Parts: sequence; C-alpha cells; structure tokens
Amino acid sequence: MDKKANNLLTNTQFAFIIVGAIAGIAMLSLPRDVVEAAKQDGWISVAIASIYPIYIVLLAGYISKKFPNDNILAVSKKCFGNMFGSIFNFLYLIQYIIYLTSVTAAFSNIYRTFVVDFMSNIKVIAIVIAISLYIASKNIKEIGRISEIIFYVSILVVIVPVFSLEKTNILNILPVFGTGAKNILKGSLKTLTAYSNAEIIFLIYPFLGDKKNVRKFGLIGVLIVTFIYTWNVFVTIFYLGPDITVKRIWPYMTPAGSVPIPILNNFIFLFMFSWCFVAFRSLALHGFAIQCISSSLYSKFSSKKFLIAIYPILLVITYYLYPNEIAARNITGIMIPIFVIYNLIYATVIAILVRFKLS
Amino acid sequence: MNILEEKTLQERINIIREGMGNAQNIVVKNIIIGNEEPLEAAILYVNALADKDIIDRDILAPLMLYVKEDLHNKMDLSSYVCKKYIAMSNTVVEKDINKVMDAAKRGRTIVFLDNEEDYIVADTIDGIYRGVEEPQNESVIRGSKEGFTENIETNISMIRRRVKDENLKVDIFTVGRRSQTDLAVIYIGDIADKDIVNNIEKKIKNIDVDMIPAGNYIQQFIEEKVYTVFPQMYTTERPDVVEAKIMEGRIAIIIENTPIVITAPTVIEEFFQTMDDYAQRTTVATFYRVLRLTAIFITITLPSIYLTFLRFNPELIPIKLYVPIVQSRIGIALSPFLEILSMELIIEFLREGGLRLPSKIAQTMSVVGGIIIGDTAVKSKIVSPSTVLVIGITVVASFLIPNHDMSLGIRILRFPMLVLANLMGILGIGIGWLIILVELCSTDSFGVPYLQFKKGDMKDIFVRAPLFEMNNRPEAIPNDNPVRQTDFREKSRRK
Repeated sequence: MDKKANNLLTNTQFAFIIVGAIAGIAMLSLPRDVVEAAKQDGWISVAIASIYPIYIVLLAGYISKKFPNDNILAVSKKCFGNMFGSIFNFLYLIQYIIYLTSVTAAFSNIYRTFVVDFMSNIKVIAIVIAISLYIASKNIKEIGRISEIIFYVSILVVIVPVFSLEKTNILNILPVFGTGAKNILKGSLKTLTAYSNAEIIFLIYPFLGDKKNVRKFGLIGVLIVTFIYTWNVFVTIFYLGPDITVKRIWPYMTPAGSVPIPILNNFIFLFMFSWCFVAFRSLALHGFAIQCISSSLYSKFSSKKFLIAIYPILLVITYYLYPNEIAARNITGIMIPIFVIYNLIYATVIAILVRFKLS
Repeated sequence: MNILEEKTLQERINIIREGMGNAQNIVVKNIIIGNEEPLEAAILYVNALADKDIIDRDILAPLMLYVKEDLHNKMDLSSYVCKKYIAMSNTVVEKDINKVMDAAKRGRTIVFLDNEEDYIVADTIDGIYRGVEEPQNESVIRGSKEGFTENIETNISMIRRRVKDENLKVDIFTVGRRSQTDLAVIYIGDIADKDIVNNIEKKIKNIDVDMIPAGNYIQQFIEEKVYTVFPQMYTTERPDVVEAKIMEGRIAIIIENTPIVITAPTVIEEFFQTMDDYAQRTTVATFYRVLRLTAIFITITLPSIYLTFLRFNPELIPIKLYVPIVQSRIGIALSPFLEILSMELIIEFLREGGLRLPSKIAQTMSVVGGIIIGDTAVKSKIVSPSTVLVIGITVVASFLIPNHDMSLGIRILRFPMLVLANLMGILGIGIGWLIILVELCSTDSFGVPYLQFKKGDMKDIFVRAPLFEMNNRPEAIPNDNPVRQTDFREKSRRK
C-alpha cells in the first residue's frame, strides 16, 4: 500500500470512476435510441461516438498539465473572472442536477416495471435519491473504492448476456455497414447523450495520485465504457434484430433476462439485483459532482449540509419534471444534447484560454 | 541526591507499603545478615503473587545462613549481595522507587539492605494461572493445540518460542490508572510498518481509564469506527495465528489477564480464513473457502430473498417449487415477514441463551429449542415448514464464519436486510448490500482500507493458492519487507 497516496485516487480507481459515471442507466435504453437511426449497424455508431468522451479526456489531460491541483471550476474562475466563472459553474451544477434527476426517474421506472411494481413512484424516488446522496457525501477516497468494487460487480451485468447468444441469429446484424455512413453517424449523435457525464473527469483529476496519468487512465476508462456500450448494443441487436429492438423501451433487458438459470424462472431478478449497484454508482457520482460544484460555489456551507438542503429540491424536480418514462426521455432528449454542446464549448474555450491567456 | 538515602530501613519499607496502598497481603520480613557485625535487612513481597518456596530457598536461606563475612564496608553492597548470595537468575538492582513498587505489585520480591539506597528486585513471580490448553473457541483439526493463557509472560514466551528472529520486538506498556494492566505490543522490526506501529503505540499510551478487564476493551478504545458491526481488529486465542499475522507485517497486542490476542491492521478477508485452510491441501482448502463465502451471502440474504419471493415476486419461482410452498402456508396466521422474524428471533434467543448456560442445562435447552419449539411451531400453524427450513439453513450457514466477532456482526445484518426486503423487495436487498459495501469501503483499520482487492492478494482471498507460490506478503498490509520467500521449488524441479 502506498501510504502517501492514501487520500488520493489510484490509477484504476480513477479509470473506474469514469466508467461508473458514464455507464449507468443508459446501458438499458441505449440500443433503442441508436437502432432507430442506424439499424443493424448501431453498434458501429456507438463505437464511433466514443470520440466525444475521448476528446473530453484529452482536454482534461491538457488542462490538468497546466493546473494539476485545480479542477475545472477553479480554472474557469481564473479564466473568466470570479463572477462569470461562477455563472458558468452554476450552469454546470444545473447540468448535474438534471443528470441526477433524470437517472433517478429512469431508475424508478425500470424497477417499478420489472420488480417492484408494488411501490409508488415517490417512494422509490425518495429512497433512491437519499441513498445516492448518502454515498455522495463520502470522501473521494471512499468513492474511489466503491467505484472500484462496483465495477467488479458490474462485470456480471455486462458479460451475462453471453449466455443468451445461443438463441441468436447472425442475420440480425447483417449486412454490416448496410445502413450507410450517414445513418451510422446519425446514430452516433444519438449515442452522445449516453456518453455524457464523461465531464466528471474535469472535477476529479486533482484527486488522482499520479497526475501524469490523467490522460492515460482517462482514456482507459473511456475505452472500457466504449467496449461495454458497443457490446451491449451488439448483443441486443444480435438477439432481437433491429426491428424488435426499437419496439422495446429497455431492449437490453431482453437478452439479459433470457439467460437460463436453475431454481429461478428468469434471470431478471438477479440482473436487477446486480444492476442496482451500477445505477447507484452512477447516481452517487452525479451526487458527488453536485457536492464538488456546490463547495466551490458556496464555500460557506459545508458540502454535506448542501446535500441535505438539495435533497427536497431534487425530489420535487424528479417527481414533477418526469411524470413517466416517455416524458422523461423527451425532456432529456432536448436537455442532454444542449449540455453536450455546452460542455464541448466550455471545455474547449477553457483549454484555449489556458493555452493563450494563462500560460 | 536520593531523598531516601537518609531514611532508616523501616521508613523506606513504610514508604513502599504506602505507595502500594497499605495492602493487607504485603508481606515484610526483617532479617539479619552476617555473623559478627550483622547487617539489618528486609524482604517485601505480595502474598499469592510470589512463590514462597523460591523466596525461602534462594533469597532467605543464602542471606540468613551463608553470609559469613562482614558486609559493612563493602562498596556497592546491593550489587555485591545480589551477585554473591542471591542464587537466582533474574535479579536487578534498582534505584527508582516507582519501578520497585511496580515490580512488587507483579509478584517480584524486594530486598532492602540497611544504609543502601538501592533495592534488589528478584523475580519470584508465581501466582496460580490456568495452564496452556487447547483454545475452545478456535479449535482446528490439523494444527497446534496450544492456546493463550491469562499470563502475559507465558503468552509472550509462546510467541518467542515460535519466532526466534532477532528482529522480534516486544514493547511493554502499562495501561489502566488503577488496574495497571501490562500490555505488550509485538511485531517484527524489519517487517512491520513503522508508522502503523507508532500510531498503535501512541493510541495505547493515550488510553486513560481505570481498568482493562478484557482484551476487547483495548480494541474498542483504539479503533476508529465505533458503530459499525464489523470488527476492525482481529482477535485470536491461537499463538500460531499470531505468528502468521506478525510475519505478514501486522502488530499483535497481548493484554495481561486475557487469553485473547489482538492483531491489527485488519482487512476483511482475514475473518474468513482459518488455520486449517493452510494445513489442508490447496484444492480442498479452496473449496471450503468458496463454501464459506457462499455461507456469508446465505446468512445475510437468504431469509430476505425468501420473503421477497413469497411476498412480491412469486412468479420467479418455478411452479413445481411454488405449489408445495403455497400449500404448506395454507392456514398460517402470521404474515411472511412476522413468520420469518419470529423464527429468527427464537433462534437468536436459543443461541444467546445457550452461550452462557452450564452444559447440563444446555442439553435441555437444545431439546426444548430445537425439537419442541421447531416441531410445535409448525404443527400449531404459526410458521410453515419451508420457513423453518430456510431459517435452519441460514443458522447453519452462519456457523461457517470462523471468527466469533465477525460472526456476530454478520448475524445482526440479517435483521435490517429483512426489514428492507419487506419494504422494497429485491430493491431493498440491493440497497442493503450496497450500504454494506459502502460501509466496508469507508472503514479503515489504522489507515489501511478494510476492503481491498489487490492483484497479488487474490492468491489468498477467494482461493488458497499453493503455499510455495505465496512469495510475497499481503499487499494490503503496509510493510517494509514485501518478500516472504523465494521460488525454492524451481531449484529442485527436474530438468
């Protein structure tokens, strides 16, 4: 054990936090969004779309070289001055609030559909947000460890559909590249929403023990996510075919739920059990981002108090903004592309300013 | 200059007597040494802590009978007497009156010589202690049958006998304002991490209490997280376990009057390893280790999963299994939750009750508990047979956890898990496990993460790799010397 780095993240924890922040709820619904545009070549779209998180990681690597101990919030204040910096950071906060609430709503919808139909929406939401903020209130070292352990648990969620492959049909994914480059790229644009939240790297790079490795392990994290997403869209298309994939709200549940296991009638029960760790990890990381941003905006309050104060707000937003799954997707379908564009511009401008103004 | 120098022999004895609280069992014998010009002297010891036979034979007899010379004009008389007349191996000449009093309290005998400012302290510690026996709570099939006793000297000697390395360090402390309990911190100097040793010793020095009646007091005084159910230090009654722990860079704490030795820092997997794992063949040991981990999962989760199936998700059970379960539940008055909870509580009553009962009554208890309650609970339609089966499996599974502290902690977790399952079904079980994981991740044992999966340590967590392959000490425990052994089997491999 490296004692000096005890309060900082290890390289693997850093990579796994990035995996955890990106690969959350979108795993289940992603195939539908992509296949709508790119048909059987959806998995290629997903692989191509990883350009966005890779770009974000490269920017983070660049900024971290210049300011290894300041996260983007501090750098933004240096670039734009205290007032404008704070405004931009506040937009960042709103973005994470939307992420957290939309994921919570999706979590509630999935669980109430498949396993806990006896619970009301508000109950699930209240519990899920409370647990997420509880985990988010831990310090970075503990969040890193939790992300690492849950990554190992989540391997089950990712590899289990292998066992459903015997019932698949190779014709489902043929012809490869048959939909044309235009549709594949259109599919990639739809995937960008699933890759959002790669921006958490801007907040956590100061916590990495070995600052030189921001780019390397950021990229490893992104590659793992890309692999997970590509695999999961591929398996879904392979199992269901493009026509049926678009007709399901959470297509990935079908191959995952079809795995035969003894004693239980279907695998969904076990899948939902292990998947809740993945979802909570992603929620907790959103919560952690909120905590980070809040402590930079309102340094007078302790960030734990802020998390308690924001709890009812998150609860109200989740309950009233996303009454059902379709409404939730419509809203996130509009909001998240805006955030993606905002993040791209924001991070790029900061990187440029760091290059020319602050160096 | 020593303030006692001018005092008479009797005054000096009285000062020590008072310093020791004028206890009734302090024995003082005044003697006269020498023939022609006798020298006044005295011995002092505490009755029942010192061995009178040794005092009579090796201190009094030589001094009273064999001194034929004039001792008055000897330089450094205490040392002279000590060297020439006290026929014992362990004696020291001590000036510090506080150390002298400490020694007397522990069973040593003090020899006072008139007009001498020094004291001769002779090791006559005896007192009756329990002998070395097989540890009852940690028995093994293959392995040493030796267990620690209440005597700290014996316990330290047991470790010394096993570890003859010159770097074995034993630091002695006295803890407890009134009990003045001795405590030894044992580690291997060139393996243990110095920061952790200092941290533990600092915490021990800071303890300011009246008494330390049992070893686990120390554990609770120096651990960081107080309310977690998981023990943050490992406790054992076995010297072989302590030997293995200090060889891995851990620090052992031996406390007087307790047959339990504490080791720290601790990682969670230690609690699921036993000495037998290493004595058995690799494949066999691995099988039982996997079995043990399964048992932990069953202990925490099985009743909750059963409750979830019964209450919320019956569609998940195959029809062939579901029909008998439903049929057996016809006419049962209690809800599944109350049914499981009541059985769990009865089992805990039986266990807690049986723990401290004399063995003769314990038999009645097992008949009443196991046969009468179990059988009649089913016949009187309070619980269904399948519930009894599930609870029975859970209880048996919980016995597979080798460490008592951890076993208690894990058993308690069943109850919140059951409540969560009753409220939220499978989501509740997921949340329960998540909170357990978060708790484990945020627990430290002296700065060492409690739950960690290092690549090199995988040889000894879920499996038990061949012993000759475990060339490095566990990475999880910080140490100054990571290499434990070399690839010695390579040398004898046939080419």
